[in-house]
Amino acid sequence: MTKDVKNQEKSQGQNMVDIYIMGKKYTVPDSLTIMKGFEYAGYTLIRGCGCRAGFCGACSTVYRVAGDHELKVGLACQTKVENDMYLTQIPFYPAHKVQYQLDELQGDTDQLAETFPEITKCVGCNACSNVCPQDIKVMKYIAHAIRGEISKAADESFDCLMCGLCATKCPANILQYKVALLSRRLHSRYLVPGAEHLQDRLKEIEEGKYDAEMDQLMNASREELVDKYNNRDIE
Amino acid sequence: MLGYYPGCTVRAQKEDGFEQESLAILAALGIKAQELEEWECCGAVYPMAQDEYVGLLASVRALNQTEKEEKDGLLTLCSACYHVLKRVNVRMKNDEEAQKRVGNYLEMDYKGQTEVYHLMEVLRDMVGMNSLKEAVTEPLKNEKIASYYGCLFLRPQKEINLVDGENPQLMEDIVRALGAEPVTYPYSTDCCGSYHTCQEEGVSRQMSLKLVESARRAGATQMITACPLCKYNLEKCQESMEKEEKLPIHYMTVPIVKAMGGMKTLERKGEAHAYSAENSSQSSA
Ligand code: FES
Repeated sequence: MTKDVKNQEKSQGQNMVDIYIMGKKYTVPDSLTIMKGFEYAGYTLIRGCGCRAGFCGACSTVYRVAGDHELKVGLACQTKVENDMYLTQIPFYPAHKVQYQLDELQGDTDQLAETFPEITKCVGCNACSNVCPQDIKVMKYIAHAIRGEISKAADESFDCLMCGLCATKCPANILQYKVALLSRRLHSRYLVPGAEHLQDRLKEIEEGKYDAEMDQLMNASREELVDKYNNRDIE
Repeated sequence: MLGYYPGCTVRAQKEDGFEQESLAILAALGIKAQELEEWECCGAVYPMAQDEYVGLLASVRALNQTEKEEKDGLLTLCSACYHVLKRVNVRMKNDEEAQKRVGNYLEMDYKGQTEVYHLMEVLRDMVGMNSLKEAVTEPLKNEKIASYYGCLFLRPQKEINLVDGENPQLMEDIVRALGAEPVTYPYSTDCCGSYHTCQEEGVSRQMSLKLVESARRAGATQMITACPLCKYNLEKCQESMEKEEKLPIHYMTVPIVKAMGGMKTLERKGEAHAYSAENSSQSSA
């Protein structure tokens, strides 16, 4: 049956591959991403998918290709299907949510380790860096965090999408991506000078400079909005 | 050029000046050291379990990185980092199973090739006591300095092999080169109580107090150490004393900097060295 499908599709100019979603086999065109492969197979994704453009980090996927022992990971919206790919979506990872008020914290050396004490349990296995779909040196920024180098941690983790795969691999239960987020928050809140133009703009907003324009938008009809959208300035 | 491994404690406690002073001293004496491009916490405690290899990874990575960066050895300042790096290195030299397991995991071939150095070892073996003495411009005539080694530089002797574990004299030799008087007291190799301070503070307080009192009775005007934890304990045990009763506890770099004319002078000398090195390498190239 599958063979028939394969041949049939092939004749229409598509190369087909077999993929396994939660263990069940589907035959899909090899030009698809994993995410589109899911949809081609009939799944409707309402969790574990967001921007579809490799930015939001919602779609982390674990997979293995038959014949290879190595577990691989990728963003479902960015990784293409391969033949004999065994797939699992990680739509939600139950990470511990540490609550903090940025204004009550300090940009000093102990802050990261105080907020996330588990970072000092890092054993240096580097599983986090090996798994990162963004090729970030995760262990390196955790090392910066341990020794209080907030700005270096912020810099090293800048490309993080918060997909959370690092945390799924960590034997010390560190939430690397959340530590990284805090380092970037502390860095911009306390360690770099504030952006003046932002302050100016905020003041303008508070003083009502844009209220009229805003009201106009809020009261516009659907047609007006469509028209505005279609004729917007594109850089 | 040495690779340099700062260690987490030394780096996180920048305001202590230990790192800045150490590097300034070395630069002024013409020793070059450059921080490794990447390093992680060594774990601060040498992993004793024979069948667990994870604890070796961070140290091996740093040791291997030193080789990769083509440095002439790995310098460290903190006694704990020194202890861990050195012992892991010894293990990697001699334990084939560790070589295999760690090597497979890290996908590197490391068999203990890198030499690990402590600051005081560099002063002894690369600078030499005579050159150190020559670099002293303001001898510390009135200082009587008690050197405190603590456990991590000494034991186990077979693996660390830095000084004579029973009667070490290296720090005393340095003190002498600075023109100060080394104080002899019986406890320079005893334990300060170490991590007991986290749970059984009374234990470490008693052990540390014994050391400080002994040094004081022997006439010390200050005690020096190269261990952040020893320094913490030796200070902590004197917490409730009046200020004038306290025996000052310093990193060993403090009297060296003083005898060599202060940080400003050191920095100037360091720059001069860097300049002449640059020029000679240019002319030889
Ligand atoms: S859906 Fe946003 S990164 Fe894939």
